Amino acid sequence: MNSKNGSMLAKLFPTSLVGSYPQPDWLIDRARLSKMVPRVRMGDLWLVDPKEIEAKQDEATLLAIRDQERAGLDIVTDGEQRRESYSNRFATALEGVDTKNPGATLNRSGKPIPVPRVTGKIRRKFPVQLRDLQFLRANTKKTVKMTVPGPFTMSKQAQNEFYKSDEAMALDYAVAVNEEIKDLFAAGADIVQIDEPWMQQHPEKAREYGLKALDRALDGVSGTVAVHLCFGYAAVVHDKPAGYSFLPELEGSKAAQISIEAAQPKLDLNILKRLPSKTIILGVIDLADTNVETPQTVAARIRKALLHVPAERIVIAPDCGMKYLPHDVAFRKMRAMVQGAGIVRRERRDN
Amino acid sequence: MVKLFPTSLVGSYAQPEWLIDRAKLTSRFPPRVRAKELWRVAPDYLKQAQDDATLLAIRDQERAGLDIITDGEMRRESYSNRFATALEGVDIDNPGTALDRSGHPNPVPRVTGKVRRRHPVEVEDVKFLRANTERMIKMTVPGPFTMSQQAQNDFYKDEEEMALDYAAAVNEEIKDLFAAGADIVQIDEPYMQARPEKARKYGLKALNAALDGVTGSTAVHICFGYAAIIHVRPEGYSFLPELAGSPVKQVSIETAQSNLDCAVLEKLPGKTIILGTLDLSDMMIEKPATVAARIRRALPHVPAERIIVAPDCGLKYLPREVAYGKMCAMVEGARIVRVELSK
Repeated sequence: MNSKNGSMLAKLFPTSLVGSYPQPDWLIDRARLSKMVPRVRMGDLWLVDPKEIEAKQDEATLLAIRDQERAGLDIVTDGEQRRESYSNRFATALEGVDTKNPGATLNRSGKPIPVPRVTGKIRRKFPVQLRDLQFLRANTKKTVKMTVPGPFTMSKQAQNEFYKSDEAMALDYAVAVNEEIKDLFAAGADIVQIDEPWMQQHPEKAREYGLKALDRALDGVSGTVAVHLCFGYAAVVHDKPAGYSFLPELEGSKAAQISIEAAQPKLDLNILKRLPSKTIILGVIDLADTNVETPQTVAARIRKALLHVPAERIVIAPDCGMKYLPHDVAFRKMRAMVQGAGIVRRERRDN
Repeated sequence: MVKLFPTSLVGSYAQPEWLIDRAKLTSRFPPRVRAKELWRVAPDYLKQAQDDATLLAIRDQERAGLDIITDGEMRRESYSNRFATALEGVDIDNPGTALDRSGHPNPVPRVTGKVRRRHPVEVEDVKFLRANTERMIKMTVPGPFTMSQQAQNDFYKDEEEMALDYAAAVNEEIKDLFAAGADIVQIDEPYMQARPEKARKYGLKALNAALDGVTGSTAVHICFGYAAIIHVRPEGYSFLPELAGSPVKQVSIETAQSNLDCAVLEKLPGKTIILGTLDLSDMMIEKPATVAARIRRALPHVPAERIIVAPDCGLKYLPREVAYGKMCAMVEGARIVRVELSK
């Protein structure tokens, strides 16, 4: 029954995106997009008539799906073509947040940015990404993964003017995410991934209540869930540490898969031993470098992880979302990734 | 080709609604001069949008299981005007008028000087197609006779002379397309059917000139006009056996909507027939069995080895879901007859 679940694919080293894929220039203003990751809505980023936006987003999504299929990925996402950022489509659709009169918070680079102002109880009014998932499911026969922003990250990307504590707010975000995840699985998602990049940015708060919020988001969920942590978009955050400040803590969470970046920060993969029960979605594509990796480079990055994680528990992926890469670079990186995974897969079979 | 009944489009595939104003496209005659106002994407992004639409057209054909892939003509307002308006010697800013095959006047390029190809027109298109599929590929170009009928001659002493210069331009283009990786190049000559006397008089000569020195696999497509635009269909071709004498290797004809008596195909010995098996006037998707029956209808008259299964004409004007469904039915219909014959 688990044959379609990421870690349990019969094939070793199944390949997958983290979530996003480049959006076409005819759809969204990519030059402005890469300057700032929006937390409230930025409707004027879209270059198309509002009446046509859904049709054009559908088309871009089809293109992202077909590119992934052609590159040979085993697990396919919708490329997040409908999103201005990984989190704001979901975060701004919730009840209790004022996006028209935003507040401000410091982003991970320390700059103030407009964020939703929380002025009432956070509640999911309606399924937000359900149609997105249905569209993805209807248009590919491959294993599909859908990403949702994590409750902790959303709570850090908001200005709290209602809850007595950030923890209470994060837990209500978690309830909203929990409802969404259940709907996504019911509609045919094989894997749902919770994006929690800010756990790495705020490790103390993450320990204090982030894990609790994550577990609340997974309450009663039976499908395969992944959590993605990272150091921020390569296009936006330039100096990356050599290690995660928050990672082993996730061993205690209910998520089955942990998505980490390992290519760009040259992470010491020893830390992966501290996630003994988890499948690792291993980042092997460096998104700060627009030079396309050779399959051999990808293979070498996979072999490094094999010293610390059994092959059966590895999914091969880029470090993070590919949103900001030029389209052709992203495609060729995906293909190198698939070929690199193939090299190590053959080595294992031949030995 | 080893496989019996390989499948292929004629040329065009349904263009996405977001790319081009399909309602406007359908409500007018196919543009002979440029109709840039039809595009719904800003000029700066149009090329990328057309590339992306082409990728989707390729993937749809691959997913449906076609053996021969075209670029779906996503970059074209019509099958002919992208090429015809790129030539030297034609004035498209001050167009002339010519009667369409329906008898209605339509603005057309005005030929005011010697027709000459300034630069390759579709070579980038074929390279893009070649780079994005591993299957056999076909590229279409408008035929010299048809272009001469979709122009106002204000320069040449007669139309034949004009058609022969169009042929020289097409000839250069065809050679470049093969050099860039095309497996098949198809010349679209629908007006040979619409104007059979002129076609006999100098159309064939122009077609042969366009093929002069060409060694790759060439096809010629002849039809009764787009189902969306031309509604009445005769039961037989007024111009077809004449093609037996041309060096072209494949002849693309419609048989589904016209219910063609396939006996006429016996008059094209040696030619591979690109057999139209999808009726494009009908938005109902054919059953594979219907497609199979249409293939069987040709078998008494054409050896199976010389049949490629295709729609009647371009799928440009069909809703994409219908076009996709029809392609799938066509592939399945071809499979049914292939299996029958292998028994």
